[in-house]
Amino acid sequence: MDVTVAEFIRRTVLKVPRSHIPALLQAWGFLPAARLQALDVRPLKEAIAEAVVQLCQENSASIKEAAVLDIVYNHTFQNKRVWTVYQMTKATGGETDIFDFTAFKRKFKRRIQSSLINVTINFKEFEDNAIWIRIAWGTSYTKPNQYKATYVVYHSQTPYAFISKSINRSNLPLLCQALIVASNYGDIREMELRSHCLDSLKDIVFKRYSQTFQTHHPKPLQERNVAPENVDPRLIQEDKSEKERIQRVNQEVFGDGPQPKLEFAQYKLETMFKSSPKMVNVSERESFRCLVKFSSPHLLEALKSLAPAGMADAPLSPLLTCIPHKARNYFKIKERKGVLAAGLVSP
Amino acid sequence: MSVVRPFDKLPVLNSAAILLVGTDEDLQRQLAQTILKEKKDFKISIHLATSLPLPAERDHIRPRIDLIVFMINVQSKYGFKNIEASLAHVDANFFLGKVCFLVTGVGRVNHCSVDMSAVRKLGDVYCSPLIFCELELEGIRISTAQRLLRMLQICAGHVPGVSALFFSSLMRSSNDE
Amino acid sequence: MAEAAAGNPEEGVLSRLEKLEARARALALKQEEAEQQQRQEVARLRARIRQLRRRRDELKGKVSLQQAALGRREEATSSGAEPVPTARVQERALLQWKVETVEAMLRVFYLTGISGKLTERGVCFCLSTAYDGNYLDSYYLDIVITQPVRIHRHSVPIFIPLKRIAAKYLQTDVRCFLATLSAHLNAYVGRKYQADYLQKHFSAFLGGHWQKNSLYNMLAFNYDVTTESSTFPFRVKLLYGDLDRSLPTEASVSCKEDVPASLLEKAATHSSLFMNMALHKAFDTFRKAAETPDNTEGTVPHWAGQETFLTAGMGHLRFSKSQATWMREIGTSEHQAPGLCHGQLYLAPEH
Repeated sequence: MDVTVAEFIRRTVLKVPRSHIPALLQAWGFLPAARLQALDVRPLKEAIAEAVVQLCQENSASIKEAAVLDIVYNHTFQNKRVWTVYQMTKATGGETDIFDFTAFKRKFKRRIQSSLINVTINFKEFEDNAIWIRIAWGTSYTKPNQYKATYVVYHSQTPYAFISKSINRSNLPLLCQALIVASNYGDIREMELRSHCLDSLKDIVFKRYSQTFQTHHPKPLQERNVAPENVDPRLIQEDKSEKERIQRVNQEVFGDGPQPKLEFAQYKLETMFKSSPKMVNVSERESFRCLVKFSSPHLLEALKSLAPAGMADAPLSPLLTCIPHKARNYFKIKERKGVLAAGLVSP
Repeated sequence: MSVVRPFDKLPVLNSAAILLVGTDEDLQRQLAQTILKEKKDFKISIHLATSLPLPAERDHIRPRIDLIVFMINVQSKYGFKNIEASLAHVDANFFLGKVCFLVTGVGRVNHCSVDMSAVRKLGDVYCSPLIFCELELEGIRISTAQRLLRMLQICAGHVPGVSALFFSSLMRSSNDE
Repeated sequence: MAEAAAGNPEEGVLSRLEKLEARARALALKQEEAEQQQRQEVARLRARIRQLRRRRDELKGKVSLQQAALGRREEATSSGAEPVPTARVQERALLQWKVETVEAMLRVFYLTGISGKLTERGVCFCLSTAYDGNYLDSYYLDIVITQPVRIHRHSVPIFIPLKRIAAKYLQTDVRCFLATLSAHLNAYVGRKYQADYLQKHFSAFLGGHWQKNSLYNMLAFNYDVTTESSTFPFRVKLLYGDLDRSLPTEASVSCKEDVPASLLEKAATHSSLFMNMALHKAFDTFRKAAETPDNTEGTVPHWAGQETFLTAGMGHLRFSKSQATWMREIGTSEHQAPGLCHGQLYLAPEH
């Protein structure tokens, strides 16, 4: 076994929290199960890593297996990376093709390797039809750097790809090209949607997040965790109807279910400064630049609870609530031509 | 719009009503529960509202309000503006000792979004005491509840010889010093 | 007031007072709590009394109504006159009953697969899907009726060619649009259901190497075929060319070349089964066949050789679509699910 491969496996194992090591190795599926069960996870992590490397030596692991381990690691701890969504479009509304994973792999590899020889490309398919692609980039003269790989997650027959943010920006065009070639699309563009939580991004672009639709058949009411109705007759809620209105409006906007997880939303204002006639020192046509950034561990859930907690009026500004619908969390607000109100400008 | 008036209804025997106004619902509820737990020898009714005016359709069943407590969280500008707007719907007679401001959230200075001088000014303009308290802490919440209950007793006229006006002027002189 | 100096066993008056006050408060709290509990208990019992009283009144009312009805029936024979208030009550009851039925009808409408509700700006359609007698997911479309009609929001999976269907039908024929979309969705959930069911319930048969895609219009996997002597892996690849059907348009079963001829024949029958029968039902048939080996020889008819062709070397069998209405007969007659007619309605448009 190559020394670099051994070192790579060792470092990958060291990154994993101790309690996750057995499950991860099992998901990897390379080492024989009997040996895995014998593996002792109590000693220092260094010792565990050594033992794993030893096992890999015996089974003569190659860079291919090591890369799969890395994919499994990144799949398990996907929230450690920032994911950007890319949207692909077809020039013509052609027929939906029958996706063939083998053909996809072949085309993808061929496109990248025709321009760059020193790359390691690996694929792994997961249960939920997600295809994970790992690409370790080299240059024409250097070997691929296994520690700074780019990860791409693609769901077959969807026009979206999720690419992990990496420092190899220069290779991005090549990667995008390979993606559209392999998946039979015509064009690709970056969407203004980024988050740590890959699953939430998927929920947003695949329209799986909770939306409310009006129907005649109310869904079986789930046990909503309403605060226990205050039974004390001495406590009188004066504005019950207003509270109910807020609840209703909020539910219409956000739906019942949990919100997708985003960490931030950014609004860039590029509007003209409007002052009252009294303020003469500010020139009228000066553009007013301003960047508003909302950040929270769980932004949409936070926005959802703003109005019920009495911190904002309901309904919230559509600028805030349109995030999952528009599938973007970076906005540019420009002045509408001829209209005074600042409007949302679609790209 | 109905203005809350202190003397538009007859008092009910051996009972008092307190009105808590503030947007921070959680804190309001906690304080109300704490007040309810305290031992008192009169019937109390606690009215909760996020803002004034109170809805007119309940006017006929609402008892006379004896004390209005505005809960200001200095971490929320929205809440403060809401209270400033609500104050317009309070009858002037209330400010003769039947209003007080609870100011919370002062402890965490870097989270403050309301200027303290604005809060003090509010107290001065409306001639009403400011009570600073961190309602998240249980001990302080209990002592605040006791204090409010005592004030409520005075405002409802349950303490012979002490009127709300007398009490508030007593408070003010100590404040100004 | 420094009487509370350190080390002094005697306490100051103030701290003593404070302690006393705290004790009084604690006692008061306890008392209050006890009282509260008592009050709650009383309130609970009162509520129970009210409830029982209401029930009693209800029952009384019923009895009196019945008696009145009895009496009226007797009266009706004697005199046709009826008191006015009863008529009004009856009218109202009738109206209420009508409203309730209409509401129930509206609610029940979703069982048909397509239902809608008028909103302020358009219609919100609900497309519910079902397969094999099971209700599966519902998908929604919020349509704004303007010129042109446009889809405001929806929860249709991204890989369903909604855009294409909308471009084709939405402006001209909403009915056709909904029907097409519904067919697509039902076919998709049907295919997905089959694959999931297979993986869940027939894992013992399956050999892994699953290949599928989001739309489930290509499925390839290995499965084991046991004969008396040994087990042979078969590989099947199913292509679903019609996106609005849940049965494949192309099924090919392949196996290693060094298998006995009887197995090749078996592969042929299998592939035709796959063409005409839901996946899990096909496997059900296999399993039954495996349990009673003699029986299969009887049921599998002789046509196996007629329309198959063998690709040399691989022992690769392929079937055209027209064959084996036979197998359908077998499949549907033996394994028709006793499920709801709705599921059947969507699952097999060719019936």
